[in-house]
Amino acid sequence: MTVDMEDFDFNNYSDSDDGGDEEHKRLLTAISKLDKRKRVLPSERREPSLQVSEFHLSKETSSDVNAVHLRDLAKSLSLKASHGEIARKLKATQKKSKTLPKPLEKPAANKIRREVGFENVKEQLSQWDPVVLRNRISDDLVFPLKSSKGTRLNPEEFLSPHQGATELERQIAAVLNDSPSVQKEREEKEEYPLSLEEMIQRRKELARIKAQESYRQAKAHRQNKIKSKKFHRIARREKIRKQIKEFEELQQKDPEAALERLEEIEKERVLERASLRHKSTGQWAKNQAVRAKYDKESRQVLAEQLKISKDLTQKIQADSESSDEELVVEPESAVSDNPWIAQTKSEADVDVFLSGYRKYWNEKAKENQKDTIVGTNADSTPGEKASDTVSVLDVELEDPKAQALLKTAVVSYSEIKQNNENSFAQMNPPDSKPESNSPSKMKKVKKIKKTLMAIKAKAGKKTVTASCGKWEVTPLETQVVNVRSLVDMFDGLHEKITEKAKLKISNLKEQLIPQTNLPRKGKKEKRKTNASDTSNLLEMKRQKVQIDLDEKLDEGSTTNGDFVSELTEKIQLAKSNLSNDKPSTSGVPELDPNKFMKTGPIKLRTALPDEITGGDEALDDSDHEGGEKEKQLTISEAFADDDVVADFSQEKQDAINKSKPEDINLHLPGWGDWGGHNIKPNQRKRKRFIVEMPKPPPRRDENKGNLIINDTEDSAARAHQVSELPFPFTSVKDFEASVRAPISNTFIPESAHRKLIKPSVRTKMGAIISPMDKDVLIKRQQKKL
Amino acid sequence: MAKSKAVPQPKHKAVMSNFKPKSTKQWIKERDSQLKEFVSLVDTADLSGSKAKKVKVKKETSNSEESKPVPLGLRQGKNDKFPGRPSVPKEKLLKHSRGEGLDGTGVKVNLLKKKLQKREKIIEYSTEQAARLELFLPEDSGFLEADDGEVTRQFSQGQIAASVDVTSATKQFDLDLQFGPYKSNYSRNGRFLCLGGRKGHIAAMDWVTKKLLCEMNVMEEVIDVRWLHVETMLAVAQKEWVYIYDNQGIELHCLKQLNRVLCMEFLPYHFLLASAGEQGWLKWLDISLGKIISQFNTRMGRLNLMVQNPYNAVLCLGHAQGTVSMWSPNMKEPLAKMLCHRSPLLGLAVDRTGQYMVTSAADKTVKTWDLRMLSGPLSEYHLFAHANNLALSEKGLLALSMGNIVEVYKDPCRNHVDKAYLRHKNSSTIKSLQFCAYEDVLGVAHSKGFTSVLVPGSGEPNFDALEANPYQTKTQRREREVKSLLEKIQPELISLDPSTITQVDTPTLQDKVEAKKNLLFLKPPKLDFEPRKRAKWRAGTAQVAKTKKIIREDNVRKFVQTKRHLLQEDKNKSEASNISNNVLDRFKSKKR
Repeated sequence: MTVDMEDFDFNNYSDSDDGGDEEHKRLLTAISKLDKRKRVLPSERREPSLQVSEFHLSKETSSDVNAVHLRDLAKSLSLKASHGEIARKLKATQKKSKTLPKPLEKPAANKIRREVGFENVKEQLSQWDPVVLRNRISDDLVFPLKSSKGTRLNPEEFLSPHQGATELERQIAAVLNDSPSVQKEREEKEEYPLSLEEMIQRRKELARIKAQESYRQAKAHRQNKIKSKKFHRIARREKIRKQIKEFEELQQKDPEAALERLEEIEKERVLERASLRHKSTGQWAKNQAVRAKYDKESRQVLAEQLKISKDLTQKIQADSESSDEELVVEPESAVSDNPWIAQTKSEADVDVFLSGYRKYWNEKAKENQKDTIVGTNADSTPGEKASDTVSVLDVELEDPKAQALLKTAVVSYSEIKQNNENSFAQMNPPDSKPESNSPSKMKKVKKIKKTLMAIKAKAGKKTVTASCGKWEVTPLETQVVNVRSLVDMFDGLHEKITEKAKLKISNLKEQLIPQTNLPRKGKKEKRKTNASDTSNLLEMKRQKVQIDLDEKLDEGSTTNGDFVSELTEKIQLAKSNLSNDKPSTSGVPELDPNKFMKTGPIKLRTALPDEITGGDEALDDSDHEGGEKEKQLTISEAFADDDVVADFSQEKQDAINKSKPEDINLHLPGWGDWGGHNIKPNQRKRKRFIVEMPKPPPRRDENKGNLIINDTEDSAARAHQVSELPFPFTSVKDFEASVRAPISNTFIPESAHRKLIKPSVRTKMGAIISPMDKDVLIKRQQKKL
Repeated sequence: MAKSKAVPQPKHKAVMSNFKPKSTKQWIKERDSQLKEFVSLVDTADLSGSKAKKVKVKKETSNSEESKPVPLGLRQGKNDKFPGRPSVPKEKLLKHSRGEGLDGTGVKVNLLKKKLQKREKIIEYSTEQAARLELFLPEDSGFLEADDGEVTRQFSQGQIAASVDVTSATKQFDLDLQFGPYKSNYSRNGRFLCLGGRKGHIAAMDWVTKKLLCEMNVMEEVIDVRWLHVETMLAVAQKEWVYIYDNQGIELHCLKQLNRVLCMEFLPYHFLLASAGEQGWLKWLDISLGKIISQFNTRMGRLNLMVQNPYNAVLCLGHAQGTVSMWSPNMKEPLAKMLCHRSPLLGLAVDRTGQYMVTSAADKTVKTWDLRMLSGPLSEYHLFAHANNLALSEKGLLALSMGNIVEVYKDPCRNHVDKAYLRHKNSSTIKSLQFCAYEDVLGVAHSKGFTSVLVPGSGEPNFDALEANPYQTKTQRREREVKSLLEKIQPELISLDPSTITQVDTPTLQDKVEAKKNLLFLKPPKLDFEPRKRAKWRAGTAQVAKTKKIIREDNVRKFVQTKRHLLQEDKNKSEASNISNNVLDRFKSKKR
């Protein structure tokens, strides 16, 4: 645009800045005049006319100021209350309305449309998938698929007489309905309370439950297989926690059930007591025990283990005075029945495990001895413990008679030991800690001492019997000496004891039977003594394991782990010596040697043919001597070819060599190297030209000396074999499995044969096969149970 | 592949039941329990399709008239209305099992996998059904029972014949013939007997009814006789050639290809007549085609001892070196060779399941062998005399002849026996032994005729009429002939393992070696290369030639590289396979 600026006074314009709007307008008009083109002016409406030119509707920003806006019109609405409704509506419309987005480009829109359409069709078609799959898998399809069961008649309805034809008929029907025979028939019909669908439903339900159960089992099995100890520990803890929680809940909700649960726990405890678990008898525990001498950790572990067992075998209910009698009776019967129950280890045993050091242990053992003697004396009634104390006292008194008694007692103890190895453990009260040291019980101890002293005095004059009444306990220091002398004496005695034990063991079986009867007596006695003597000395804590009131068993209460264990060891030894002499009758299951194949040749006492006997009847008897006949060697035997074996092995070696593929030597002497006389070809180079053949697989007859199997492939049969796996198969094994079974009725039962050859698709002649309709998709309603 | 039938054979025939009848009370008790089981099983067993229908049942048991309907109460427990099918014992299922099934991991398409799994279920059903249908085999084999202080072997044939029923007693007979020594052969169904006397006497008879079919003298030495697939045809190995006669004694064929034959075997499923000759020739003749299938010289000398293994139709030959060799018509080398004795073999027998083989040799020993594992001896017996002939019965009884004595042992393969079950003393030297099929009879051919010996408990009491029917009629025989011809098994399938046909043919070592050799001598393919046309100034002949040369050389280099690579790969593979092969490799130190 070329602007002619000659007549425009810039200076003037800049000067009259203050002029404001007018100046500006002028400027604008001046500028606009410069433009030669005509501008379209905004149309103005001057008077109303019917025809409104579309060209007049141009949008003009400049006229916005004068334009009438909706808000201006709506202003009036707010003036009147009655227009409030309209105003609100108007506002609402204004709020809601949004400007529509620009329509998409046509191709993009089409694409989206197509995509959506595809998704929809896909979904529609996928409805058919299960039906199609079912039909494809089905091995028996009958076309047309839809059977004409559209008009399915209820047989009862069908067979029932036409209802309400006449009054008479109705009456007859009523009478018949009420008749007892009809009623009875109906009742019989009730035999099948479930319809077919219901039964199917129920069966499904059962199957589901069964499946779930099996999953659970599988899961448990899997978890059991996990070797991680950590996992099991955590799992166990969690389980216990859960059980406790459950139990607590149960206590609140259902106290009776909780009680039952408690009983269960009690039962578990009993089982635990009966089992060898946590008793440190396993291999692991033994290993730990070996290590315990030097390793603190293993000591701890062992102690922990024992603690666990203690915890597990501890009674939950705190024993009270009221339950005393039960406590007395129960373990006894258990002991008589089950020797394993008495397996519980005492504290002394724990100490044995814990103390690695011999020295320390000896001291400790003596201390224990001391304590336990005191403890048992304080603890038990005199009647129960009579003979224990006797054994202790006898040593002191050196009374020959008493010694004899002691001997018999020890011997009888050894018998018991063999019958019931655990009697020792039973004797040892688990809580045989030196409780007597506690100041509160010192008085009682003194009492016991007194009684023991009295006994000592008495025993000097006459033999002590098991039934002697009040004894005194000697001071502790003397007791230590006593114990030592006791140990010495036992050392001296044990030889005699073992000898006697040998004798006694032979009578063990006989004794076993009366022993089983013994505890009953003990029970009675104990009850009596309990009734009479509960007042004295029994305020101490009751021991958990009660001592059997058997005379012989009483020897066990010497309670020192040291010599008792020694004793038992020696007795065991004696027993084993004895058992070596006799053939053991029990234990190992007897094997029938006849059941196994004999390896050597068997001589058959065959009859002799006339050729040998010469028709002599006497020789022909089955009683003839085989040895003589065997001497009659035939010619062929005399010339028995010993080389047969060598020949055969040679033949086998040849066959093996023949079946081996030979390596190919491609080396050409003189190529790439000097050739000729006295020139050794390079071994490395020569090796490079040897093509190794694959090594043959191991021969089938490799380890069989008397067998040659021809390994060369039989090409004739290969022509009939399948050389490539047919389509759906990817593994040879599966293919071979699929063709392994015959289908002909020559080999399998006819019914199976028919099943196998049944055509998968059958069509009814003349029937119209129409395509499937959507009815197939509708799931049939089933009654819910 | 021979037919191995593990299918129930629901056919009945009583062969001499126990000689000592049980007390009636006990019997009734047993019968009741049997009936109970029967009813409960029959309820469920599928009768419609079972073969029982087709079979002509001949029952000799006396309890048939007493099989009254069993009250319904027996079928069911009181509370349980529908107890369902009783389960089949595991052993029985195992007996009929077809091996491990398809596990479905090696099948590509899910749909087809499901189809195959369905099929697998039917196979399972078929084994179960087969086990169930064993119920239709009610007959037990009989046995001899000795009183206290007696042994079974002391019973003479006369005593046995006197104590059995009349029909069984007639099965014990003696033929006194003059053209001996004789050879005999029973037909497959056990009904017919043919005799061949060395001096030319040939006779065929229905030995049960004692009806003579034909008798003649061929005026020539007769070495062996053998029934063919039906009782109308009879192969006779004469001095020079083998002849085939019909049951009228009419000469049908003279097989000059089979010359100087010493022994013959007929393989019924393959329709092959196998013959072993004097100079070590082994020949198989397909009698349905009249053609020699295979013939070769075994180079093992005179072959006078031959039996077939019914399990796989392999021929077992006994040799003077104490070896037994096994032959199929497809290979000129023996399939397997076993050293059984250190002295010449005299007798050889294979049991009908192909599990056991019994050999006897000149060192007066008898050994039993496991024929499937080709191992043994399972047991070794020393006799007082040579056992010249051996025969195994269907129930596993072993008959051996020493001179003129026959002794029968009860199941010497599975157990160790030390005493004979039966002993029979013949009038003259025995030349051949054969147990009759489905009968408790042992045929003894000797130099002065033929003796039929009763051996209680030797025969299979239940026969499969579709397989071999002793009571077949003429039409049945004809039908059977056609069917068996249709089911004829090709001779190529004869091998040690009859299930070869079901296996996939995988490349063998030979193939690999061949392939490798081929690879070695493979030449790079010629490259016909024409460089594209260029501008004139570039398209000079020298340039073109140069380009061609470069390309060709490149081609050759690439080829050689790939070849070397392949060879190397092969080597690596074989090494790897060697590593995994040896069990003791685990003790080697790991170098890597």
